[in-house]
Amino acid sequence: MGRFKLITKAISIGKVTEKYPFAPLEVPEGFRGKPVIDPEKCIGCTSCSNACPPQALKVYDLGNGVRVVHLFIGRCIFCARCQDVCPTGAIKLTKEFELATLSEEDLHQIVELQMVRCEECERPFDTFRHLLYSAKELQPWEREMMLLCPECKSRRVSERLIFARGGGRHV
Amino acid sequence: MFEKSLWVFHLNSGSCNGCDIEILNIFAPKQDVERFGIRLVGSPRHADAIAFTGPVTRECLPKVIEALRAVPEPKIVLAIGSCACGGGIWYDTYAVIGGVKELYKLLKEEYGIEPPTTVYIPGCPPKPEAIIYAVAMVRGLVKQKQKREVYIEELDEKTEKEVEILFGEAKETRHFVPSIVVKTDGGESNKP
Repeated sequence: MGRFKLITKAISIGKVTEKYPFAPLEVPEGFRGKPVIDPEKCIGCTSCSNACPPQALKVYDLGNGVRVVHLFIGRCIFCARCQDVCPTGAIKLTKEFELATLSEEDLHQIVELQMVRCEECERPFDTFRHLLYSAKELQPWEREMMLLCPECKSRRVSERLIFARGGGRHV
Repeated sequence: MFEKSLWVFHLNSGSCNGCDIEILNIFAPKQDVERFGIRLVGSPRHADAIAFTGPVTRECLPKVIEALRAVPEPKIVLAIGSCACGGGIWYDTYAVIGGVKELYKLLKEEYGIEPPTTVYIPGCPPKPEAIIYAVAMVRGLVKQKQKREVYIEELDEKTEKEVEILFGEAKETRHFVPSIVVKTDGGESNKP
């Protein structure tokens, strides 16, 4: 009689199979899907590439004054650390999970940002957006050396220190 | 691409078993892929497709190559999970080749084998529905959604104006920092 009970139970439960590819699927709350960079908000500060465990997010400078924020979803482990550290909320994990592709090229997202050139040595050292973002936090008189690259900045500071210690007096 | 039933051989190349459990899930009643005619087979010689998981460790590289060569043409590789797609968290480890892309490079250099058609399914592990989506894409039931996105910033007048305002202000208020003019012992004045 055990088999008869099983059949009646199976009929009472009915079909459990999802109709997935033909009907849309709702993902649960808090699901971590495809990470997307909002290119209008990204400032190129490299905090996401520092936090990324598998280096799926890389930030590197091309020589010609362009900084590239390069996201390769094929290596991403969907840990959402980039979302936690992003200061402007530019990178967010969506609920998108249908990521299958026929070529690896389609798994890349690239954001190219323009960089500021140093006033003295003409070397690109920071993005415009990051410089403006950090300049707004400072007082006007503290922005004096912000358009210099780190090397020129340290040289100018040390020159001043040398002159100040040189035993002279203010004229 | 493949309009008839796909027979799948499951090849684990050093995966952590997360993706393998998702592969077993899609054969369970809830996400039943046997309705598309997909079956797991025990031998690569019977298979049309390879469900490939793991970042290809050095230890299993010869066996992986042997299994890949045993699959008759035309074949398709389903690279399941971040490890198989691009190396995942182990992309630069010494004991690991680093995903199917590096494996294809090795195959082409050593054996002269052209890389088979590959479907990349990123995820750590991918949702069972993501694997079903990939299989449905191979069967031609749905279309590919993911695309390469490139954004190039162009400098507009607004940014340059903002730079001028912020740093012009700094130059005007420079008197807050005393500009030091120093006389050295020789009597010559130096302006830093």
